[in-house]
Amino acid sequence: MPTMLVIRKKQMDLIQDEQRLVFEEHMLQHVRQYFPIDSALLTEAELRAVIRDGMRTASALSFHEQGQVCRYIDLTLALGTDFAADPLQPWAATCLAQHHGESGLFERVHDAALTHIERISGDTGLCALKAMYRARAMSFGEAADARADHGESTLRLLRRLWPQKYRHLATADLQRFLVLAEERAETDGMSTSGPRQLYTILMFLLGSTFSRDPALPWARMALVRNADADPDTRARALYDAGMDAIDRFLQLLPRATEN
Amino acid sequence: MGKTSGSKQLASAASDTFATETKPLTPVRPCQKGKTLLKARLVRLDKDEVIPNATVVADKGGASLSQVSAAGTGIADFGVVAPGMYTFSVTLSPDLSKKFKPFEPKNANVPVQVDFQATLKLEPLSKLRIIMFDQTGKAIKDASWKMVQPVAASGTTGAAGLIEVDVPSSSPSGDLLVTFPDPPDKEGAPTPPAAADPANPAYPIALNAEHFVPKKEPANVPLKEVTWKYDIALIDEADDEDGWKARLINLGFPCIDAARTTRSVKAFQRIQKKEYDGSGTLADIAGDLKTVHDKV
Repeated sequence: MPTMLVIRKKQMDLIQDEQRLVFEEHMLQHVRQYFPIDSALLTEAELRAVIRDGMRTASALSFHEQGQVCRYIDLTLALGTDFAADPLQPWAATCLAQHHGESGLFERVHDAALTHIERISGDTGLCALKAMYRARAMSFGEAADARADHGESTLRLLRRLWPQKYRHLATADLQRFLVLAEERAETDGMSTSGPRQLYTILMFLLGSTFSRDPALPWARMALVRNADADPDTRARALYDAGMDAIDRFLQLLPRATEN
Repeated sequence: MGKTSGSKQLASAASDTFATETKPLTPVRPCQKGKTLLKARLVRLDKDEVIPNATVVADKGGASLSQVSAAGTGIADFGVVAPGMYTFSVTLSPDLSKKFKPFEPKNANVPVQVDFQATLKLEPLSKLRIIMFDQTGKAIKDASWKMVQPVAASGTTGAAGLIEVDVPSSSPSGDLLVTFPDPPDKEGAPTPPAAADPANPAYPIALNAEHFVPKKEPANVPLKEVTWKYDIALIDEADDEDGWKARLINLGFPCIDAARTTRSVKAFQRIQKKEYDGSGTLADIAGDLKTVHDKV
């Protein structure tokens, strides 16, 4: 009778850890090849943090195939971490809820994501790029306008910044977004009207979880470094860090295009 | 940055060989005995809580297997099965039907020689309950109401003034049209004194107290029909200030700032507890809020 091979849990964990490390290495190469600007903007440790965050959220959504996890991480780079729960991406929650448990769920999510990105950013990302340019042109006083009402005037501003993204959101989605923005701005110590508007703009442009998105480490750093500061100081730090990030991104853009 | 990616960039990244790799990131648990085992785990869509005592049917090409989900794990264990494509459906007991939407069948491919576990998620129904009172605190009965979205439902309020609808938790907002009943007839004007017989006038004239009641001011025209937009969200537990405030607001007492909250607490104490010199402190009504709100 053949001897049964027994793999203990500790050994199984080691095998899984090894597999995850191998995946991480492959993924690192993949990101460097297909997302050269993010790779240039982020350190290796920050890129690995993006990959690990994506592995964790993909697993929570029951996406276990390596190719699925890879493409899920690609989507988080474009749409923000935890995009499936973002009120700015209502199609994602709908797709996951309608097809949960079905085979081919990931393909549906990926197809829906690409369709959405084409609508709001275009096939080359030009619409999103223009939105970044418009944001870059905003002064601190305009972005963190103390007279902002977190209602109609804020929505008008968002529409001006990125009209393609704005018009694909239903009124109810926008209202949910404003409520979430208010909650998150308060959590991050930016509850007064001006700082809250700046926070809302960044959520709209970069994803509702921008302040903890590992692909945007500058946002978290700006908030952490000013943890004890008043809302206006935190807003100023976030604004400066955001403008610096856009500048570095824009500087890299021609070289990436040439490649 | 990736946030400005276009669809072409992502499609290109998806064409990478690595992005099409179907090997699992962590190994699928192979069946140690070389057999194909099938289990289905039944959970709530929103909380991942397990659901016991529901019948799960796994159908493969017309051959159906049926098992009941176990208490504690929510697992319906089908044992050894043939590999292939299975269609899962769930039969809800009358009790569970009151809590969950009917389950739409799902397919899953069960590979050979694995210990396969499908997770089936049931979408809970949220119960929307609104009790309508008039300005005097009296329940409004005979008001007809109608909901079109997210579910079609209609009804008429009873003596308790209660509107109650089961709505899916995945559609947390909607519109509710309420048509109020006609107000009761205006109070009749005081009966005028009988016309005096000019030939035989009464003396002394009879006095009637009603003749000295001042005329009533015309009442505001009551609303006949309203459409309410509602949003359903999970309410915090009633063990801290957020949970208490949420309940107080739901009961019609605003808490927009500290002063208003104190006034609302005092109003609650006065109306619900008949305390006419209430403390205005939220913690003092914590237990009552849970009783009044959660048992409505």
